[in-house]
Amino acid sequence: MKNMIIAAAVAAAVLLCGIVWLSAYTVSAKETVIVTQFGKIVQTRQEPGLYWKLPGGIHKVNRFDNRLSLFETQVIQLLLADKNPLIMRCYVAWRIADPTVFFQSLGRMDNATSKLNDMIVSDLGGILAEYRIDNIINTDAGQIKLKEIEDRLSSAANRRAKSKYGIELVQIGIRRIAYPDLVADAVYNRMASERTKEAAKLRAEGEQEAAKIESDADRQASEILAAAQSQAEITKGTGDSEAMRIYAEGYGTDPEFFDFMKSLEAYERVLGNKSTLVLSTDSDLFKYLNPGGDRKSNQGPRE
Amino acid sequence: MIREEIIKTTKDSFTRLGMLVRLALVLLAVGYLCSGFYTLEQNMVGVLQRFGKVVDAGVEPGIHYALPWPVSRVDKIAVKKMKILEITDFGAVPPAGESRSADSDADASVPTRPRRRALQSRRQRGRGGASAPTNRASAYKELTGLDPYSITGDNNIVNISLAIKYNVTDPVSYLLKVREADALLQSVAAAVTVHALAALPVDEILTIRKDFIAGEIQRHAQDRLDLLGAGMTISFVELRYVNPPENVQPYFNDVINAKVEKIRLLDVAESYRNQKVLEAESKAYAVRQEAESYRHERIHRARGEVERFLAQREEYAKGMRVNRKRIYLDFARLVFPKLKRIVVIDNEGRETPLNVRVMAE
Repeated sequence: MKNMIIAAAVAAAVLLCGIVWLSAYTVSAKETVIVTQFGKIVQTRQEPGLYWKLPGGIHKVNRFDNRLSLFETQVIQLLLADKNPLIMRCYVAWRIADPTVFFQSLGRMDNATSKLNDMIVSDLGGILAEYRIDNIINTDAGQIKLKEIEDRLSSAANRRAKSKYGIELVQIGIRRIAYPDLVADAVYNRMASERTKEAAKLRAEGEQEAAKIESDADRQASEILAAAQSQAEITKGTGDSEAMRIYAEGYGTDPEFFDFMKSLEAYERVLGNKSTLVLSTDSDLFKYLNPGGDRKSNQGPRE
Repeated sequence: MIREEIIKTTKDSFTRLGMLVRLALVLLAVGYLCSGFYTLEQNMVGVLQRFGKVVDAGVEPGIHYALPWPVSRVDKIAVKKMKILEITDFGAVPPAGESRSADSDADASVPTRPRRRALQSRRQRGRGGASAPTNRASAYKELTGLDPYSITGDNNIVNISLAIKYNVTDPVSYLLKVREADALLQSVAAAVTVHALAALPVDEILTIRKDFIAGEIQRHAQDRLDLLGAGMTISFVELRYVNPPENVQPYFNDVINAKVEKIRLLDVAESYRNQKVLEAESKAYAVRQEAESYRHERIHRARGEVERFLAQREEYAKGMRVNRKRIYLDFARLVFPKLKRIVVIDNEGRETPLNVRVMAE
């Protein structure tokens, strides 16, 4: 009898557990739950916690991730306002803003990205048709409108995404800009020719500057030499004048004797082994050859 | 009696079975309850949730207990661990510079101008036969149909790859607000890189602006992450490689060579200048020295001559007449013998019989 009661209690507990198991569900902080009854929405649970439902397939729990999701658009080729073709790719961070609308329009998470992709691609095409290449790339950062494009894209896409799919586009970013292959090749060619030009310019500059330095060096050298030479002349001049002064001072004490001595020195230098000297017998040297002999004469030698 | 025995033994075995079942149940229950113990490593933070609700967002490292599944759930997040994310969307890794370094060295010593041929190689590589370093690049190309590169503000193309160091600073946000946090960071970083490079000329990107670019990327990526509430903090952005595209790399190398050549030319010119100036200076020194010695010589000779003159004069003054004659005769004696011929004439101009030629011979 006692055993029977225990058995019954155990059976009841197991049954209770089963019912609880089947009719309880949790909602975590990262999800939203929509409870449907034969496809009709009964309840939307956005707060985390433990909830009850009718068991046995009457109520169905549909879970949606309400965290930020990420997807990247396909690679799109666009035409800018100035007819430049450009390739772009965006990333989109989105989340479910209105689970009811989302559930009714898309049903499952997986369906969202292709819809969003189409929407953003078409919006991006429209918006970029109003911008020129200078607004996309420019060395003047003030001219670049990438942020503006992103913002416009975000607000345009958001308007539709919210009402149509219950989706909020939290952030859209242009994560790739590229050229179509043909344009890229042209860019490569231009880069190559620019570099070639720059290299040639550098080489020419180098030669020119080197030549300038060298001619400069020659000039500098000759200037140094010229300066030295003029200084040398001056030095020599002072030497000469100093010597002159000394001579003048010294010889000036007896001009007559100087005359005599210098004349003799001069003769000594002038007369050589080719000279013929004609002397008078009156001369001091030969006066004794002369019978009439001792006349005075100051006549020097004659050539 | 026998029946009773049988009943008793079956009863016994039933109770024994019951005991076993009970023991098993208790063990199971204990095991279940014990599965609620968990440990958190030193660099971890736990986010404890009960029935989906966050009840403790910052469980410290150590041993803890939480009611087991399905009641509680603990997510362990390594907050102090630095993670590294590489952004390779914009370039081959490692790009031209590394594998080519040997070539470029050779280029430097024998400056050869690149050929147009280099430009065709890109297409061939695109079709197939990708070598090991370009594997990731070709995977990217397969995915998007695009060569990996980024566009610069002056309409050039560069390859760039970066490494981003980050960690989780808000575990709850990281866990509950974003779905693919790391992929999100990847996209955000790529976007801000595109934005940063679109505003700069290629030469600055390749040279002086690397730090600036890294800073811009870090700042703007962090801004975007914060707007998204991703709970991640970027601590460092490193530009791993910044290179011109492989097919124009030789042209860029050529510019570098040209720069080196220019510097070398200027160095040569500069040393020519130094040599020239030095030479001129030493020559100038010699000229000046020579002038100086000329001056000294002149002065000293003048002094000497004057001294001699004065000395002679002093002697001369002692006996004017005699000395004068003596000097003259000394002179004649010294000089006349060197002459070719001496003719002595008398007063009337006739040659005297005395021919003094002999003396000269």
